Amino acid sequence: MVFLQMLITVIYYCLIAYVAVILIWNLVKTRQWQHEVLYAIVLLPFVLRLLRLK
Amino acid sequence: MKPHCRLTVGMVALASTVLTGAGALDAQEAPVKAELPVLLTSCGQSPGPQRVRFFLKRLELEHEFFEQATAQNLRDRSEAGNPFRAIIIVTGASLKGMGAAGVSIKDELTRTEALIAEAKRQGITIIGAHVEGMARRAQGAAPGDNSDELSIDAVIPKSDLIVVRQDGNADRRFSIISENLDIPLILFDKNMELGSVLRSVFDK
Amino acid sequence: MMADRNDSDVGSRLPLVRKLVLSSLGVLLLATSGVSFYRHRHLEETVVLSPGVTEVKRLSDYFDGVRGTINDCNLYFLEGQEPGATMLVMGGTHPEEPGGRLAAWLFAENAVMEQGRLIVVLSANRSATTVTRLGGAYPTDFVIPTDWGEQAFRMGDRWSNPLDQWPDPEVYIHDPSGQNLAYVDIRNLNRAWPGRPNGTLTERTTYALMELIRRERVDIVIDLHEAELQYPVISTIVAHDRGEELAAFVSMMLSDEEFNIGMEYSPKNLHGLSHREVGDYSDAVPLEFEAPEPFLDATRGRTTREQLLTGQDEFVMKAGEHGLLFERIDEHGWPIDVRVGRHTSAVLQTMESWTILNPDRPLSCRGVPRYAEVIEQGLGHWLHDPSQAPPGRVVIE
Repeated sequence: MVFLQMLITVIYYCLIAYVAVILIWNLVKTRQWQHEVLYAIVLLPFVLRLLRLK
Repeated sequence: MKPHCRLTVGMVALASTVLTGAGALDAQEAPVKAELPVLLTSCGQSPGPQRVRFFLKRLELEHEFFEQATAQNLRDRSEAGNPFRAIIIVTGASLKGMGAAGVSIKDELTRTEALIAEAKRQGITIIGAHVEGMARRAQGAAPGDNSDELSIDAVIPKSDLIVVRQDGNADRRFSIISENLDIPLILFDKNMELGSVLRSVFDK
Repeated sequence: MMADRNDSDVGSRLPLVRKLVLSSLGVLLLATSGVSFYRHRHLEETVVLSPGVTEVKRLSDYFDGVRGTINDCNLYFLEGQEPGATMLVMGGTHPEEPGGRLAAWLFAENAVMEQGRLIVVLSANRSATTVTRLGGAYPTDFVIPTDWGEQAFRMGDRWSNPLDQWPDPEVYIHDPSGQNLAYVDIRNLNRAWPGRPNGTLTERTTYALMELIRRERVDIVIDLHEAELQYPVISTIVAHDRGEELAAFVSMMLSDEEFNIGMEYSPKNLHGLSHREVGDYSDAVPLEFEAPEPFLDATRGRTTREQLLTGQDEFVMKAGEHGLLFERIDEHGWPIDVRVGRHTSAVLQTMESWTILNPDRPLSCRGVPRYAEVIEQGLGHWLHDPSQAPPGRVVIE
């Protein structure tokens, strides 16, 4: 149980990092300002979680 | 001396008073006398009987405590030649207590009815008690939950003596039953006075 | 042609500038929220040790499985001048109920045991002191005015921080009873007793506390809580079977002399709670004390520091007018001083009642204010200035 939890947590953080990179990539590539705002906001909780702040 | 120290000394003195002798109710004042041994039980599985039991133990009054005493308990003791002479049924319901015991208020009322019928058959003195104040009246219960009042109705009108903490009688519910059915009522103010009430009833 | 080229340059630079501005705003938001979260998790709470504190240990001294974790909390030992019983007072089982923590704080900073021994825990679930209810917009901290300034405390949650224990299962199956509980309660310290050595962080924490109770031969365990007014188990003592006589005595004495407090049985078939499992898995008598905290009520208004400390709330009052509460409330609310005073008096009364029932194993304590004194002078009066403390007598919680 606890081992599974650790495993899932590691996978979870990898996913968070992956999604964060995708969001940053999309923020750079998009040409629509509405999307840029969206990516910038959505990125916040991912970075906060990666930094283990929230 | 700091205030809390004074209070501490006061509490110890109060406890000692109740546990050793002097009290609010003199032995002569009890309108009904009961004999020992006494069976203590609950109608509604509230923790109220623990308060009564506390004093029964401290006063060394011969008693048994069955949370769910049955008519069969009375019969068994009678057949064994050592019948109960009195029974104290503490009213007021606890959903938590009934849940823990796996019973409903309906079960409690059925059990209590049979218990009281057997007690009357054996001539046992029935003492109906309510010792936890308004917290154990319908006012302290969840909306729609009238189990406290149901337990009172099941016991108090059929008792030979009613013992109630004064604040639980704020609406004179127990006084009215007492007056209408001519059942003696003992009211006490403070929890620790319950000891002297029991002592006077059992002539200890 | 020149003009067209300039327009084109401006056009190609504009998205870049816009991205930089938006990213900067994002970083700003990240920094402000991140700093707030960081400060919450790392706010240092000071404890000025009472002269009666003879030793400060760590929970990991009793079970290595919590060493190095956020839940390796401090244990304050107060050895009495004369022998007697041992009492454990736990605050911080649910850190969103600060009255319990603060009452325990008053013991750690003021108590001197004359007979018997007292062990105080201020952060039974330290992880839960570093987070508030997600989406609840709770304040991250609060301050108590003192005679020397203000003392800040972390506001906490009912559950361990998901940063420290995650993920939650679909259903939490309590060990060893096998009872099914709500998924989130796998992080609830008061659903994780008696714990297990190879379990989650929360389970390892309760296991370590059980080891403390067993190895130190604790006689009485008091778990300090607060409850919403819409919850029936409020203003009461919940007692294990072995503690029923003691709890009845304490509740009668307190109700006669200081404030109304009831008593409830610990249900035998509801598992994971301290008042059940500590009694079943050790020789100690566990009691749980509940004080009213309108901040926890679902019908409350604005969730602010003021509401937390004053316990005043017009919406909870309105619920009371409709008969939906199990405890009274008026415009005076339930101030933190009242809630803390209830707990200090209840603990002191338990010591006195225990001593009357067990004169061969007494407990007596001085220096800690009772209900009326806490209300009269404010609990901050008994919190001490760390800058004025003797060397080595300040501990970070």
